[in-house]
Amino acid sequence: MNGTEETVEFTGQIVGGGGYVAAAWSISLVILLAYVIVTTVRLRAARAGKESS
Amino acid sequence: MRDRENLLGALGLLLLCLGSAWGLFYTPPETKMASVMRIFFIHVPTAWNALLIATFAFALAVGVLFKKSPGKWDAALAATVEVACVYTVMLLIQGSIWGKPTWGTYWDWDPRLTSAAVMGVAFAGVLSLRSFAEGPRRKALWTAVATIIAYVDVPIVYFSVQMTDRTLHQNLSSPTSVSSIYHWPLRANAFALLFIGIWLIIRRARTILLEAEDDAGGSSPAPEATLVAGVEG
Repeated sequence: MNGTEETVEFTGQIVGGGGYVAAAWSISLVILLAYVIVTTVRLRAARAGKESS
Repeated sequence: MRDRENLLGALGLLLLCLGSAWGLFYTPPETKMASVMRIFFIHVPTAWNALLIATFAFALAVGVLFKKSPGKWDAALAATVEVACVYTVMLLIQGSIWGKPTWGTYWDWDPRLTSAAVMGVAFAGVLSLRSFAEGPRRKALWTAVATIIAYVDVPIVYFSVQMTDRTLHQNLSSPTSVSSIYHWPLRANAFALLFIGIWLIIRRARTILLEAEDDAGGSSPAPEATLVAGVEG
C-alpha cells in the first residue's frame, strides 16, 4: 500500500443475505420480548407487594 | 389510565407487525445490498428511537435537578435510561449483523460504531451507579447528574458520520437519501418502536415508584422500637 489508501468501488450486488436479515430481526424481537416479560413480571410483583402490605 | 397505556403498547405492536411485514415481504430489494438492506427497516427506527429516548432522559434529568421532591420524575428518568439501554443494545447488534455482509466485518472501531457503543456503556453505567446510591434523594441526584454526563455522547453519535469521512457507516438516512417506496414501512416501524418505548417507560416508572413506596414503608423503624432505643440510650 506504501502509505496510500486504495478505494475500491463495489459495482455488483450482494447475493443472498436472508440469514443476516432473519438474525437481525429475530434477535431484536427476542430482546424486546424478553424486556417486556421482565417488565411485566416486576410490575406484577410490585403490585402484589403493595396489596399485601 | 392502564387501558390507555396498554392501547399504546397494542398500537405499537400492531404497527411493528405491519411495518415488518411491509419491509420484509412487500418492498423491492435495494440496488447494491439486495435483500440485506431490509435490516434497514428495523435498524434505522431503533437508532432514531434510541437517540430520542436518550434525549428525553436528558430532559428528565435536568427536571430532576430542579424538583424539590423528584419522586415521579426520578422514576421516569430511571425507566427512560433503562429503555434507552435496551434500544442501544438492539441497535449495536443489528448494526453488527448488517456490517458483516456489507462491510465484511461485524465490528470496526469506526466513529459511529464506537460512539454508539460508548452510549450503551454510559447509560448502563448510569443504572449501575443508581443501584449503588442509598436513599431516594441521593439516588435521584446521582442518576440525574450521571445521565447528563452520559448524554454528552449522544450528539457525537448523531454527528459522527458528518464529522469525518473516515467512516464505514453511511451518512444520515433521511427522506431525500432513501427511495420513496421505503418511506412508509420505515415510518411504521419508527412509530411502532416509539409507542412501545413509551409504553415500556410508563410500566417501568410505575414499577420503580411502587418499589420505592415499598422500600420506604419497610425501611422506616416501627415507632415502638424507636422509643425503646431512646430509653436504652
